[in-house]
Amino acid sequence: MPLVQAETLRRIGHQLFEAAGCDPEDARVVTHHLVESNLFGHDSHGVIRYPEYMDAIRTGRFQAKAQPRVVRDHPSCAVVDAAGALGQVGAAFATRLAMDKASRHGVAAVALRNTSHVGRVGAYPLMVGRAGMIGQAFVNGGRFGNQIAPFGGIDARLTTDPLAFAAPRRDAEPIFLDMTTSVAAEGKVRVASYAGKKVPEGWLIDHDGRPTTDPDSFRATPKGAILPLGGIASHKGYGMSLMVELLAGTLSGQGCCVGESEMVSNGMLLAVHRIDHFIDPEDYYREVEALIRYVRSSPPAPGFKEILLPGEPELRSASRREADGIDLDDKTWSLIGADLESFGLPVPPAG
Amino acid sequence: MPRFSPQALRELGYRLFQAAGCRSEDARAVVDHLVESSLFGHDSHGAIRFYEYAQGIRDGRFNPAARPKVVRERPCSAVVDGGGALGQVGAAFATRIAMDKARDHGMATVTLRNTCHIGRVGAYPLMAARAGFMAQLFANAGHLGAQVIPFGGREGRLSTNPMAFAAPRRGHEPLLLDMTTSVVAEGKVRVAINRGESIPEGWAVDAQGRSTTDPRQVKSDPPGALLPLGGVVAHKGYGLSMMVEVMGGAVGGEGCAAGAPPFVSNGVLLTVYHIEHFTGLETYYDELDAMIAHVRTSRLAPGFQGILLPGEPEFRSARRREAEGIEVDDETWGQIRRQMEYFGVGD
Repeated sequence: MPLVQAETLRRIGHQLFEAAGCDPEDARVVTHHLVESNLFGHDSHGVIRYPEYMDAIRTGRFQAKAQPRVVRDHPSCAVVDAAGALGQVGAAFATRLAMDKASRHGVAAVALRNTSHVGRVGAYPLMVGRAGMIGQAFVNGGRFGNQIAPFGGIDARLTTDPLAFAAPRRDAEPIFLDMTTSVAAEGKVRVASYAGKKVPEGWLIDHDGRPTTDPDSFRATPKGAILPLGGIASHKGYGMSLMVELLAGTLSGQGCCVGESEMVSNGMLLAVHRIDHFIDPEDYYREVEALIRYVRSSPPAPGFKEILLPGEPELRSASRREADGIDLDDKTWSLIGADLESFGLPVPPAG
Repeated sequence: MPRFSPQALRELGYRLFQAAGCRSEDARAVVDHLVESSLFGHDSHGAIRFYEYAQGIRDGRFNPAARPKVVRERPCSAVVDGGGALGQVGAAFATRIAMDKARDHGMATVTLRNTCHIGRVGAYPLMAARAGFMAQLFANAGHLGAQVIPFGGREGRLSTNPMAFAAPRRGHEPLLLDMTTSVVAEGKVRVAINRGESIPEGWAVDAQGRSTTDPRQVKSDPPGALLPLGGVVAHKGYGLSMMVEVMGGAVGGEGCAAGAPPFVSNGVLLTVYHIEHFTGLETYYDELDAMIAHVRTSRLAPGFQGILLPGEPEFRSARRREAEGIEVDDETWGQIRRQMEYFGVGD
């Protein structure tokens, strides 16, 4: 299993996406997003996608040269149509626009459509948090969606409808939250299914609405459903899912979940708040750091060593993998090598 | 267990809060809010709070004569200091400002501090949605924070940290989400104690961090704590709770959980979106209706009669209780009567 340095993966990513027709800045955005997914430990959303995106560009599903454009523009809000650009390109464009507007007006919201897959939703609030502002993102699957059962129902009708949040800390990486409003992401059920493993109780029901730990029952015909977040209070996850559908689907114009079988594009709403329009940043940072110390003062529950902040597991994984390298499976590494060769680019040695 | 018509409960409340020193319109704002909570079936935020608010006024924690004021203002944002006014007075004031700003600029955020207890947090996004906006609210409990365990911990370090969202519908009451980021609201534990009932497994742990169904274990000394929302994935409820702390407490200016009682005020952040700055209103309603129709095509789970939208149980409860009256448990009624006696208000 090759161990590859993050910097190497970024360099070959830039080369690949530029060779495929992306402009250098867009290539950088996509590559950094995917490598950061590996760093965070989310390998299923990492450079395993290089070959997949290359293929999508070759077949015209992703428009390498498309440029997002602002179709509605107001001082503190906008609607962006990404014209079929790579999702990360559209979402990073919308995020920069929202940060720029919030820098001037204190708050801003940008809605985004026609941008294919935005990838890891938490990436965009994290950009905002790292720039010293507060970011929130809501993402739906447009009119696509038959994954999650509504509360009170047994048929999959909603999508995993993620939301994400990041807020800056003093001298530390932001607090950041990146979560689906379902119990689990669809990808985790797929991973369990491919690996022939059970999923935990409380994730799934089968086609007849019975609780199951068999991931194949979700993908069976007729299919089962993933449950909304909340366990005995899953009306809350269902409610949050509808909230995400409305914020992400209606304002962007991408549309809300009506059960279409293919996802054309995510719909997204990104909201940014500039702290010093509301409060002295010194007061903000003092309160956030005091909160963190206080929360961490709870004795750990059995089986836990310490209390982590939202985002901390990902950030720890990133420091480790940035230093040690990222272990890729042989198949992914050879597919990336084949893409490099197809453009006449050198294949670096692993390690 | 006494039963009141909603109007009788309101009249009683107006008299109590006016006797306690509230202006008549402020007494009305507070009492109408609390009675609507009871109508909605949220007894934990309903008339049960009459005695608590009256006690807050007696103790000088709530200032019945205070007026909220804007202390920072820009076109799309404002910071409101409630001046120690009753929470509903401060929060309704902040909501009106946010709606005015959003109407002009597409979106606006208003923060609110120093306003005591704002009550049922869904009330304010609901105000905005009834006026045609989408709105989202976060509310923490300032420096309080000892009711809910953080994920991976076993002692209470956070408040129930609610969030709320509402969006208008065509020809119907809005879609309304009003939820704590804990499994359950603290008030529901109090209601169970007052009624002598047990609580479901998965709500709470005792002082040793063990699962309990005895609500008194949550309020014992040393106290137990509520669990964050999520069951098998409670790190998500914990994450949402931290988000609410940052938004309501750190940005809102009331401060974050520090285990420092007594409760002084909620810290609040409210964002309002004006739909027509983003999309056509008819397009919006068409999308929403199509989604609702799609969601409702699901077969029902055992024990359910229909797929309801967030807020629908509350609106149904309101229609029923408006007709049938509102029950107040004996413990709560006794406490309300003691406050009425103190302020010299007859039954």
